[in-house]
Amino acid sequence: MTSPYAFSAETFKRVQPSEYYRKFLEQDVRPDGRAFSQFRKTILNAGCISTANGSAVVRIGDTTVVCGIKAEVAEPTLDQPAAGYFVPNVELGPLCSAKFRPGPPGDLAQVVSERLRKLSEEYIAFEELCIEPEQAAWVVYADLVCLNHDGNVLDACQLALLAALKNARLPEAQIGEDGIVRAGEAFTRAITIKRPILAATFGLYEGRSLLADPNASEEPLLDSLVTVCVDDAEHLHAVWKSNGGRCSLEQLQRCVELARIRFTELSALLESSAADQ
Amino acid sequence: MPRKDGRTTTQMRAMSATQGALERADGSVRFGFGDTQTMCAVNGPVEARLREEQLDRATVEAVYRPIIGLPGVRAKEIEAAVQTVAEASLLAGLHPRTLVQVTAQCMSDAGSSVAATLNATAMALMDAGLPLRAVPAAVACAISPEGEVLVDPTAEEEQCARSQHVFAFDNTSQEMVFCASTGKFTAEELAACHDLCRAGAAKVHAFYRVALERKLAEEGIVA
Repeated sequence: MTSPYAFSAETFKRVQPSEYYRKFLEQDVRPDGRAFSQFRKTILNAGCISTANGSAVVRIGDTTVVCGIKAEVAEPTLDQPAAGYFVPNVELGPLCSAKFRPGPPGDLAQVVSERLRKLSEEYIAFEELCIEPEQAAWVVYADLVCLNHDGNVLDACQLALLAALKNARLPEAQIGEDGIVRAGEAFTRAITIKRPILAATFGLYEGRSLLADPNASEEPLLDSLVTVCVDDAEHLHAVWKSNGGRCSLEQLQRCVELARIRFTELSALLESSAADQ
Repeated sequence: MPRKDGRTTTQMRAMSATQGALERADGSVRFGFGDTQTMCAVNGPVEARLREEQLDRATVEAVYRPIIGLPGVRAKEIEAAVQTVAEASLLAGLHPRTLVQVTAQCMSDAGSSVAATLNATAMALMDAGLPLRAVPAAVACAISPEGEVLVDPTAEEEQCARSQHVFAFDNTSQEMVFCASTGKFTAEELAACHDLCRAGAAKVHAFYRVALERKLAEEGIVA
C-alpha cells in the first residue's frame, strides 16, 4: 500500500536536499553515480578563439569556462620596473547560473580572480614580459567567462587559464630611439610558464565523507571545501579551506594525495591538447 | 636562530584586546598582535533584506576595509575568510531569517593582519552575545627562504617568505576550520605549519579566556 505521504524522488530532493544526499552517501555513491574520489569528465580545447592571443575552453562535467588572453603594452609598475604584469578577470554572470546577478563582479568571482592572480605569481615568468625596463612591458589580461556554473569553478578556471597561457603567442616587440614600441608582424613569442600548477577541489560532507569535485547541487550541502594547488615537482602552491566545517590534518593530507593524482590526469590532458595544434 | 625582533621561531607577539571599543555596535573588539591592530564590529541579529534572507538560519554578511585605499579584490578574499570563521562559530540556526553583519577594519598592519582580523571577529561575536558553537582562533606563519617556520610573522618576514599560511582552529575539537596557504611548500611543511599554528591557537584561546574574565570581573558579573 502506498503511503499518502509518499512523493517522488525529485520532490524529495527539492524538499530535503541534505537527507536525499545522505541516502546516497550511505550506499557509498553520489547522486550522479560517481565514486567519492572521482572527478567529472574533463574536456579541454585550447586555441579555439582565433582573434585572441591565446584561448582555451574547459568543461568539467557541465561546468564550462572560456578563457581568452589579450596582451597589451603598458608602463611597468613602480615597484617592479623590470617585469610585466598579469590581470585575471573572472566573470560569473546570470548567464551561467540563476545564483548570480547582472552588474559588477560578485563576491565569488572576485575571490576566484584574486586566487588566480596569487597563483600566477608562482608560474608566470614576469621578468620575460619586460620590453624595456621602466618604459614598456607586456600586460597580460586574462578574461575568464563562465558559461555554465555546475560547481567547482576555481579548478575549471585554473585549467583554462594555464592552457590559454600556454597557447598564447605575442609578437616580438622592441622600443625604438623615439620611445615608441614597435611590434613585429608574426605572433611567435610564447609566454614562459615556469611550472604547471593545477587546482583540485574537495568537499567534506558532515565532516566525514571526502568528495572530489563537488557539483553545484553538492556545494551548498558541504560543510568544508578544500582546494589544493600542486605542481609537477611534489610542491604545493596553495591550500584554501572555506565554509565553516572542521577538517583534520589527515583529511587535508588525503586531499593533497588526491590532488597529485588529479594533476597527472590533467597534465596529460594539457599535453594532448597542445599536441593537437 | 633568533628573529630580528628577538623572538624565537615559535614565539608570538604579545596579544592585546579592547572589548566593547565602539559605543553603537552590538559587539566590537580591537585585537592586536604587537603593532598589528584590527577592529571588528558585529551587529545582529537584525532584519535581513529579502534577497539575502535564509529560511533556516541567519545570513552572515562580512565587510572588510583595508588600511589604505578602497577595498579591492584582496579585501574580498579577506571578507570570505571572515565569513568562513563567523559561520564556523555562529549557531546560525537559532536566528533564522535574520542578518548578522560583521565589519572588520585593519588599523595598523605590521604582519599577520588576516589572523588578527579573524581573532577580532571571533572576539566581537562573543562580545555581541551571540550564541556560538565554538570560538575559533587564528594564527599565521611563514616559511622563510631558509626553510624555517616563523610563527606570527612580521610584515618584513612576510615579504621575504617563501610561503605564507593562516590557520584557524576551534576551541572544542582543536580542529582546523579555516586555512589559506600560498607560496611554495611541501606537504610535510604544511603539516608542520598546521601543528605549530595549532599550538599557537591554544595560546590565543587562553588569551580570550583571560580577556573575557577580566571584562566580566570589571562589570561585576563574576568576582
